Amino acid sequence: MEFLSSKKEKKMEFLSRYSQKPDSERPKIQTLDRITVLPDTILLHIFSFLPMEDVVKTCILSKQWRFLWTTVSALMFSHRNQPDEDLCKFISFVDKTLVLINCPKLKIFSVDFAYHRRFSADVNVWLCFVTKHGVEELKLDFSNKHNFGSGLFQLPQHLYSNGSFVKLSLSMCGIVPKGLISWKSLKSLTIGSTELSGNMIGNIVLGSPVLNFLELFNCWGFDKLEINGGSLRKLVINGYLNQKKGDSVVEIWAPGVRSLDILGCLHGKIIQLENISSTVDAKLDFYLTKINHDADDDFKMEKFMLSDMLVSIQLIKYLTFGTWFIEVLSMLEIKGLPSVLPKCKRLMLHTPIQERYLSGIVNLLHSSPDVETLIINMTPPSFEFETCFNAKISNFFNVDGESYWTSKQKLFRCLDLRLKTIRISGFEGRHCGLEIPFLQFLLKSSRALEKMVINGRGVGQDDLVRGAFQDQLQVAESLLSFPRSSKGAVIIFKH
Amino acid sequence: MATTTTETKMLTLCTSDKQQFQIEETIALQAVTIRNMVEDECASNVIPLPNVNSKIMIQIIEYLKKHVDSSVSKEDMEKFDSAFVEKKLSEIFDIILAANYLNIKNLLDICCQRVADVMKNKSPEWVRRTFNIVNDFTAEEEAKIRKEHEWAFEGVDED
Repeated sequence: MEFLSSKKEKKMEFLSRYSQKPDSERPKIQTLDRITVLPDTILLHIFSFLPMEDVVKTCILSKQWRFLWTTVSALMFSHRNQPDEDLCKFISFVDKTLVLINCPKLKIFSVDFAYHRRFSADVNVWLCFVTKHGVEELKLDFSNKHNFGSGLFQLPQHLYSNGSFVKLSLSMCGIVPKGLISWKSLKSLTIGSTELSGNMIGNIVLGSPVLNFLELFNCWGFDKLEINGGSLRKLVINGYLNQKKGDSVVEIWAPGVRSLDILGCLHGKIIQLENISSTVDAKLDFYLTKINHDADDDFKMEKFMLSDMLVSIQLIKYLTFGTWFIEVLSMLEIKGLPSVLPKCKRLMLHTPIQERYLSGIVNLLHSSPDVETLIINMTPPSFEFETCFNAKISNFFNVDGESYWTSKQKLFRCLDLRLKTIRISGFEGRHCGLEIPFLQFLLKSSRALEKMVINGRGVGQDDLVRGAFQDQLQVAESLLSFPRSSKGAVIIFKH
Repeated sequence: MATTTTETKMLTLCTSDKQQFQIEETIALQAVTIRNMVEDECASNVIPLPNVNSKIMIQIIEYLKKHVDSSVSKEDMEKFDSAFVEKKLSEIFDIILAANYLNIKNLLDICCQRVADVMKNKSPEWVRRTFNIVNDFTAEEEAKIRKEHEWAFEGVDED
């Protein structure tokens, strides 16, 4: 108790010394107020990095700050990872803040909280405010894991015809327009965790003439994505929530798209690339989960999807493959599947160098005779891999790292002529691992190599002990000592 | 066949305290203000920067040198940025003003973010003390504003 009271006294003393007395009585060194004298544009920029709760509270700092916050053009409200019982307070806070905002044209409006249908009236008023103030960037994240599917917030119809939106991000909002969609300034659209029926995406693209970027994040309900016309250049399908049992297919017709990413967990959904004739850059870093009782049925499905995809991506210049793709490819290679990617100039692989991925890597290097840049990220993937294959299939992977590569050497035409740059990241370089023999092989066989850049796996504080550092030094020295068939090749280490 | 020689073009920047800095053009051009001056050819050999002193210029060049390097990974760049803003607030304010004048967007962003992080979740009293903001409201005025914004001050500790 004594401690507490003395602390309080000290605080009072501090307050009276520094904030109550006139300037002349305060120590000089403490008096410089650098923040209030900043131009308002900069102060408003600082506000854009603060939660609205803190922004509103600046009204009490001093007279100069009194009304500054009401002129902000970026409104960002969030109630994530906070107790549910405070949710009503949060809603009321947003309501009251909007009443006081005094900026005729808003740039950003973002709300992020676990929506419940008892708040629909409030949210509808906010969205009238959004329309009235010509908001350019609207972000609504209403994800609520307790409320999945039921009591979804339905976007009000007036939002479907809006000339101000440039960027839209909608998560867990029902999208059911009654008329045509017209978003004539919209450039970037992200839709997450919602059902997209029939030809919804096609209609959105038709109504958004300058739409450039589209991401569908864990959506479901569509079996066909038909994107004709419009100016869409980048399409990202990040996960698919398959509500139906059994395998089903999504057909993609996107002849104008230049860049295509398929990422995340597709559950049991098979993606068929029917027309991607303009695509120059594709990233295939997705995975399927087990849906059949019999692993062989799953494998048939995976084989079907990948064989089909490899044909569709034949003409693409920049390709990125994720770990799952490479693992399944390892299986396919064993069963004798040919694949040719004659146009590929830059090949990017996200795969640890472990036995089970080796034949997939071999397959891709063999299939791409024209590759000039090879990029490999060796960090393990984030999802649990062990569930993907059963023991029966895993038995195929018994290779001897050392001699393995040399035995395959004649397969790699790219190493003879084209490959100039190799970039490695996530390199661990343990002596017993397969990473070093692989790099040794690449150095020995790449005749046109100009440089190999190696980025180590992020070393934590604990690893910065002398031993680990010396290990790395040894690894670097042994790599430098390996024979190189390209005289001009340089090796660069980065840590 | 003529061999192409790539000569690095240099620019000279002159700060408010008349110090001259010679740096590679590619580094300097990241600052939109400098780029505009060079493109409009309103500066000849020496680019005057009357709003930036040499002490701040050294730090800004350190930042620009790192950010011109395209081989630095995204994570490493973020690490550099977060270490770069570990400075005294008075220095951060100097850099903010310079970054604003030179128009270096990311530098302005990370410094404003740093100031915002200091203010985040803090009581007005704490913010006033930390930034030496003089409270020029009378006790009555302050009480009135607080009352009007009661909904925003709920659950705020004194410290």
